[in-house]
Amino acid sequence: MPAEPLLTVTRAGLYVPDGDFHIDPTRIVPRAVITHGHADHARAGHGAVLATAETLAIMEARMGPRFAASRQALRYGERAALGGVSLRLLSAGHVLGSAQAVIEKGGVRAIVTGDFKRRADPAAAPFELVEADHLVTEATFGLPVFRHPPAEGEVAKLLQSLRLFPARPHLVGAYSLGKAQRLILLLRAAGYDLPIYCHDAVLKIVDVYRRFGYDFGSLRSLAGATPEAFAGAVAIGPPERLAPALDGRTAPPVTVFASGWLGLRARARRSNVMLPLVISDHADWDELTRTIDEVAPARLWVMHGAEAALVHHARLRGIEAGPLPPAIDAAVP
Amino acid sequence: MNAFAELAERLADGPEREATIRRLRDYLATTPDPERGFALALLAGAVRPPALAPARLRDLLTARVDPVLLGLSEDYVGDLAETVALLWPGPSTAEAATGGPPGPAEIVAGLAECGAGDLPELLAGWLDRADPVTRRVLLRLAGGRTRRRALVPARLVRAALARFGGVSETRIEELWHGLSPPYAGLFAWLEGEAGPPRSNFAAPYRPVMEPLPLEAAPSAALDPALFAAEWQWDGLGVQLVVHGGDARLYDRAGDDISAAFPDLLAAADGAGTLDGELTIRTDGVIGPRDALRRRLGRKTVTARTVAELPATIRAYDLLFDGDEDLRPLPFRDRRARLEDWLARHGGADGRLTLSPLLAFADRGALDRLRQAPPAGTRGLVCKRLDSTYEPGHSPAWLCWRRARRRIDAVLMYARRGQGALSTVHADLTVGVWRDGALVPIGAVPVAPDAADLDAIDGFVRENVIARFGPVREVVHEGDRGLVLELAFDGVERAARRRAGLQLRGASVVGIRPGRRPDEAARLAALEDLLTS
Repeated sequence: MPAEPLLTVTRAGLYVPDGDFHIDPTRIVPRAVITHGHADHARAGHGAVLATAETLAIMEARMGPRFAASRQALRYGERAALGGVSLRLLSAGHVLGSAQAVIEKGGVRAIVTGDFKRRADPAAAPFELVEADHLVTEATFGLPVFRHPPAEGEVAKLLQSLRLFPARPHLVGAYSLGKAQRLILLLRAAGYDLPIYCHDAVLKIVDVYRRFGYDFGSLRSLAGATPEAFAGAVAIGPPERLAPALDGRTAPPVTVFASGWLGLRARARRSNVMLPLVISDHADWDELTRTIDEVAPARLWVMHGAEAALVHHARLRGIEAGPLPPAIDAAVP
Repeated sequence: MNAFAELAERLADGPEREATIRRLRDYLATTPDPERGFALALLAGAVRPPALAPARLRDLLTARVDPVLLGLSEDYVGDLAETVALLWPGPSTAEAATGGPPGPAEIVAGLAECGAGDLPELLAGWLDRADPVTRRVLLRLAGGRTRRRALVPARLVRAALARFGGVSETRIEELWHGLSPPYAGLFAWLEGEAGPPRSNFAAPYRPVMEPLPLEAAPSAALDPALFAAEWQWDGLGVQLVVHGGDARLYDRAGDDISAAFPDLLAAADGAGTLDGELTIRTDGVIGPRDALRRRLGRKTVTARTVAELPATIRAYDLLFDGDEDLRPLPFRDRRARLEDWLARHGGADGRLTLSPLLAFADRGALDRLRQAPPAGTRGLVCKRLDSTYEPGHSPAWLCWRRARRRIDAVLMYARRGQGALSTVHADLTVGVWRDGALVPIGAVPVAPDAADLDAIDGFVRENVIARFGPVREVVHEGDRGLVLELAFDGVERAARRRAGLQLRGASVVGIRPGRRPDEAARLAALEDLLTS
């Protein structure tokens, strides 16, 4: 490792001094690389934004055309020279357009995974793996109790429920960016070809996916649907907005929620849904540890979630590991 | 996907009765014998595995998992059995399991033959072949803090059977306790291929009638012309059945507890089925519930225990007199038959006595009675004189308990709750003041509807001063700490507790905002309430 690290941390988040840009900053900055379009990573108001064309399209759909002063699109694998460093975006497998940021200078390579997963997703490009000297990984599910089951098996539970309760609408709570589109495509892959009702927040993002060539079959707007249409139908949307959308118009719904957290029994029970589906767009423990082992970094920073177990895992393998270091400008309030 | 484990997990979620019944019925219709019968036995708690101590369970995992990762995981999950299910190094899907996960028949056979000492090895072998959902169900059956007898309320299982076969629930309930897994005769009958199965028992359990709280029918006309009143005894509801040369004692759920109470089986010398309340009574005085607990749950009982802790029944209803079914008769007539039956068959040793009816003029008189119930009772039960005997909780019988008492106590220790509450600190040890120091008066659960659950949890997390395994000690001084309001039914002596007493039916109602710990209750105030 060179004396001068490629990555540091400021109060706005991960920062590349030699390129003078932040990655997924939590505050407004002059230059930002955005890994993907979820709100905790992509904010409006930055000066220059660099991201995949898909992520830029998602940001525009959610925040309007003036979300940044200027923008630059980068294809997966394409290189951009930023200041003194070279930047590539590699697919992270998380949602449409999600990317890992690969920063190189003088033969040293650092990777910021952003949010990622390793398993197949019909609504996202597959994860790409490269080795690196310095890895910054997410750790949303960074405990060995989180091992997600195959998504296909979880969707089979939804289809079984539709057979068991044919007269009841199935309200599937899912994030409107990524999880909803993945669920729709998983249902289609399992042979479910009836119209699927979507909350408008989902349809807005579906439009972006469609522009990049995804086919979801017949989708309908939840807002315009009649009560009769809902007997036995699937409706997908943000969980808190689904129930009111149907309020009083149908037979009692079967409530479904798709999230990696539901692998924990207590979480599933507190969620109060009838059918919890353990489907996550984040790497589980096995994927996280496998990624650390395969990237084989000399240094590991762990962010976004439960750090201690992953740090322990990496240290056992001789990796210099820890949570994100404190911000270099933190002393000034 | 393991259909049985998946079903058990869904049913454990299901607050919705209709969905539960439909899932069960669907499983019964699509699963062959004998799997479905053994599955039913496991779900309804008809199989009693030996209990696996949490320490043994942890040993199993410690031998297989990095201790640091185990510690971090258990701390995060908050429940040992759940941690084991998730962390066990087994297959991630049922399809990936070598030989497939153990099915109901294998589980029942294994548990039936296994002693407590063999259980860890048996369980470990199963867990190695099980996906996480199956592992969770296995652990609920055999170990961990969440171990429960039945995975699904037995009445829902019976309702599903009734729906499956198109017969009445009462019919299923009467048969159920006399049948054994895998219930081949029951299924043959429900599928129309044979006549009704024969019960194993000559003296069968009959589903019991139980009161609803008065709040369920607040405007009931509690008039002596319409209602009879008697004490609600503070013991264990039982049914004594003497029939066909056999005598059996069942608890209210229909579980056979004859083995623990041989002295009661001989108490009656005539045939009949009667409901009553079991209490331990020495020298005519009802003993503390502690005495009752010492006799319950035993497979055998010594003559000495019987002599030291004699059991008695306060009888309050007669369902059968010999072969004659009295349940269609109104309470008034059943009561007369009960008195007559006891006079003829009740024996003279005082083990089987009548629960007396109470004379009252009006509702106000009842209210005064229930506010000052004698030792060994919890309040009143008022029964409509014209009520026939209908199994289940009926509005024709109303219990009117002494009002719950309230005190302020100081939070001292906390641990996480169980089940849905395992992510928050909902199991709280509280104390009251004696000679300027706090004395713990026991662990009290937070009422499920308490609004302050998250606030209490937040206080615990921010005010830990010591850790003892899963237990957190929080700050509790005269001027710093959290004051909680408790509701409880009563106070009883408990010689082995530091406070010398314990609360009955206590729960945390919520936080007392603005109260300093030194304003909380004194122990002397609770001692004044001791009833026995």
